[in-house]
Amino acid sequence: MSTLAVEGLRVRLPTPAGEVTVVDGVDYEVQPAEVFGIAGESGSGKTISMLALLGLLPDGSSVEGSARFGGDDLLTMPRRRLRAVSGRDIAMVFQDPFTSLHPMLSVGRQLTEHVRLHLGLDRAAAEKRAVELLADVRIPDPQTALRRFPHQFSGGMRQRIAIAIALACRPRLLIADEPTTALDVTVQAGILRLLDRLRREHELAVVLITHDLGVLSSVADRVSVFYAGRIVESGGREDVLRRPRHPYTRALLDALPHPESEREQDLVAIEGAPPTPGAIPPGCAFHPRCAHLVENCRHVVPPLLGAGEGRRLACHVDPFKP
Amino acid sequence: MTVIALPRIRLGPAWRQPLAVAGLAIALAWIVIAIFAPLLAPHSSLAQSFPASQSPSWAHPFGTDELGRDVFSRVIDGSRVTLPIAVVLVALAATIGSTVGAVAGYFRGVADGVLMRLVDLVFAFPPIILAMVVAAVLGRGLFNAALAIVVVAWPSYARVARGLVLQVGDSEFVQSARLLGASSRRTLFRDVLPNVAGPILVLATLDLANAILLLSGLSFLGLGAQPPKAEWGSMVAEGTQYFQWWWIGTFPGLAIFTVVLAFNFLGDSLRDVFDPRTARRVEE
Amino acid sequence: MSALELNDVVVDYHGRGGRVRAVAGASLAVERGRIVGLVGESGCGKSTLARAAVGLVATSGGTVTFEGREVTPLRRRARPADLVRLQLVFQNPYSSLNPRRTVGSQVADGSPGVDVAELLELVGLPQNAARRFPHEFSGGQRQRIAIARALAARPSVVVLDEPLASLDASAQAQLANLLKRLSRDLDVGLLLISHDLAIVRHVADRVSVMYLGRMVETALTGPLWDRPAHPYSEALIAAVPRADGAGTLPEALPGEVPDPAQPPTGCRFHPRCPYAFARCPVEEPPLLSLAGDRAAACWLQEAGRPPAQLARTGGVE
Repeated sequence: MSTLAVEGLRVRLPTPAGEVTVVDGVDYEVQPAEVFGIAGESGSGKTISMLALLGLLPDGSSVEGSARFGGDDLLTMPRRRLRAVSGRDIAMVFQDPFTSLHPMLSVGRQLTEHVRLHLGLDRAAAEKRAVELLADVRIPDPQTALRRFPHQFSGGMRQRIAIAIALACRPRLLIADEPTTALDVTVQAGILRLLDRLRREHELAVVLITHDLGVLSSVADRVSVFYAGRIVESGGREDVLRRPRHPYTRALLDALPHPESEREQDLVAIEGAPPTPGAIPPGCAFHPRCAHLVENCRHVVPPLLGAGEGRRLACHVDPFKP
Repeated sequence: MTVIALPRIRLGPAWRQPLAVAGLAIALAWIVIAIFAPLLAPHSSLAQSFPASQSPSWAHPFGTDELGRDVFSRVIDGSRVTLPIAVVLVALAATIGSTVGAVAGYFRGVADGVLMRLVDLVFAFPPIILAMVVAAVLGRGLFNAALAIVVVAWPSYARVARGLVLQVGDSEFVQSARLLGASSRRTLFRDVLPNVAGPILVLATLDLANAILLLSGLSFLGLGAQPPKAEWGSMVAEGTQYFQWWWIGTFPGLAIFTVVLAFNFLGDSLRDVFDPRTARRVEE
Repeated sequence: MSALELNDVVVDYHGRGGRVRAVAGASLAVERGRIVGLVGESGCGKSTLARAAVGLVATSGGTVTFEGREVTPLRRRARPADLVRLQLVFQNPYSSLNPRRTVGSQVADGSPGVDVAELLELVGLPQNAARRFPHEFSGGQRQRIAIARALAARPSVVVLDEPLASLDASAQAQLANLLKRLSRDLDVGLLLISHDLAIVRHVADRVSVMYLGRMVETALTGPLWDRPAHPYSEALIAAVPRADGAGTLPEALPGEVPDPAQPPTGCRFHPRCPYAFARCPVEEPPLLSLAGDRAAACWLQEAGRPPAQLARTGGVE
């Protein structure tokens, strides 16, 4: 059974200019021990769709659809219960570990308080668990680390600590939002390896949100590509990244510097810029930038349909059909 | 380093900012009242031509005071005293303070040290006490009271302006302009000061409320406006001597209250407009 | 002679904990019409070196010369006219433009009377952009504005500090192509500072790799990528995740960049180096000239010889 099943998720946010649809009908499922990757550029709604599940949107936002987690629907759950569930069974890791860690409290205090609150352990047991957790995320000398403060660690180590805190209550689902974007590639590689091991060892379902297709390619099992608040393509990692079928996915991949390509070639940039929420083109949102468009693309939103081998595609043309 | 606010001034529909609208409406109403006071006030504010200490009635909506003057007319007339003085003295304090702060932040070094110690010195006293001392030394009277308030009010502008000039002066857009060959003085006027003006304006708006309170406070203590002048603070002071005739002190008190509230609302809304956190776009 | 030359530059910061040597003797040269990449992890001193190159930061040692003239630190007076042809573009396109002035007026900062519309067109912005304010543009467009502003000064060298870092993939590719074209068409030398070796590989002609305040390797881009001569360059390349769908995890480099206030003895990279041997912690390797117009600071290499192949065993977390 899937750990998380999102169906028909639609999010509208209040802005000074009125309500704006940021996520427009999104469906996906995440299985235990699976890394489910969500790719998209800024403004594509990938982060908002996650915050919506955890009830972390600003006041005045409206959310439709359902998000089955265990036997419950996260979107209709009373706030109190959602907070309890999202503290214990769902964990979140953000881009900047400096903002998610409390700067004035020692690492040990933040870890032990969390496990004592949610698991009801006594002080000694909590401390033992904290040391285990830090060792699990490969923090050197966990005993000493407990007494230190977040600013005494580097960015990579802080992200490891944030992951340790996220894992403290043995969650079933981990949402990682651009967890390596602020880090150097050398450090990023370590965090990706860590995530990859943890999800196997802990049977953890991971939703990995990133703009970096390289990151998804290294750890994700399945990939969804967001554009303007919708999924335009999804499927197995190899299928989507090796044989992309949506013109946007293909363009995004072509825009990346490829280590094995000829370096003298120019990168193939996508014309124009992604639309901002509130100013999404009619029909297929990608049509003004698409090289394959037909008349239909200007007027009719292409539905996300099954395309065989567990893939889904939202394109009227499907120009890269094998 | 985060640099000052991106001023995305998008006010949106009025109903989204009820406090701003209320503040603006009340402030404008008081300004209109002050301008047209002679036409609006039914009676003279000084003439003791009515029976003393009458409770509010159709003839005298705010009653009459212990000397038989119409309180309604005095409250209206009082706006011509309090509002212009408050505006002028805040403008003066803001100009002096910002200049001092900008000089300190721009030249840094010794100038900064000397000027900021002066600011610290003023800050070392509670404002009302310092204003009282200055007003007492200068002698009773509305003009001296206003001057005393300028003396206590300018340092906060100096501190804010200095901080902003330091911060904006180190910002990347100023450095870029410098690398393109602009002198440091040129960037001060073209890039730095325009970015400092917004927050100073916010501070000044909020400070108007403070100035009115201080001015009324000094008058209440007998250091500001002298009888029989219709000044709200001194009217409240008179009212406190006659608690059984509550209307004498209550209505000028309400006038102070609404004006102060209005400028606080306005200042808060302006701050939101200039604040990067509330002015940011919908982004991931 | 190169347009911009940095020779053995040293930059110290004076913090609360005493002196920190952010750049500890680094050399670099940028010629007109060529793109030089400068890469390294955060904290390696590359941004400090960029600021020292244009005079925003004072050096404590070494020389910076631009077109034969010494680059002096910026003081209160206007910058000397012949230094204005050396420009810098900052990383963050949100803080490097004045929010209160129109794009046109800021682009014209460099030389009043310049054809703003032409410059904007050159960097791919609509002509009406001149009358608008910076907040009306996306991050990628703002970075173009910043580049147009630098070009207004008719520069012969532009230093770009992580110009691509805050951009999405599509905007990044557009800008990378733009930089290549501008450098070629306008005969401008670019010093491109980046932490992303993959993008630098596509853009730069030459690459210098910096670690903890020093250059550890410099070479033409192709040979450096194909056969890195320094273990640190090799680690940077191995850590780049490939978007090929293969599911291969990138190689992590163990440990962290040490505190520049207390650099390791001997080779600064030895605590993290998979090949370190007895000599490394004791003696600091000089930047050795190798065959094929390249240089590396590693005891595994021999001066004048082609770079020896490094044989790496990976798999750390």
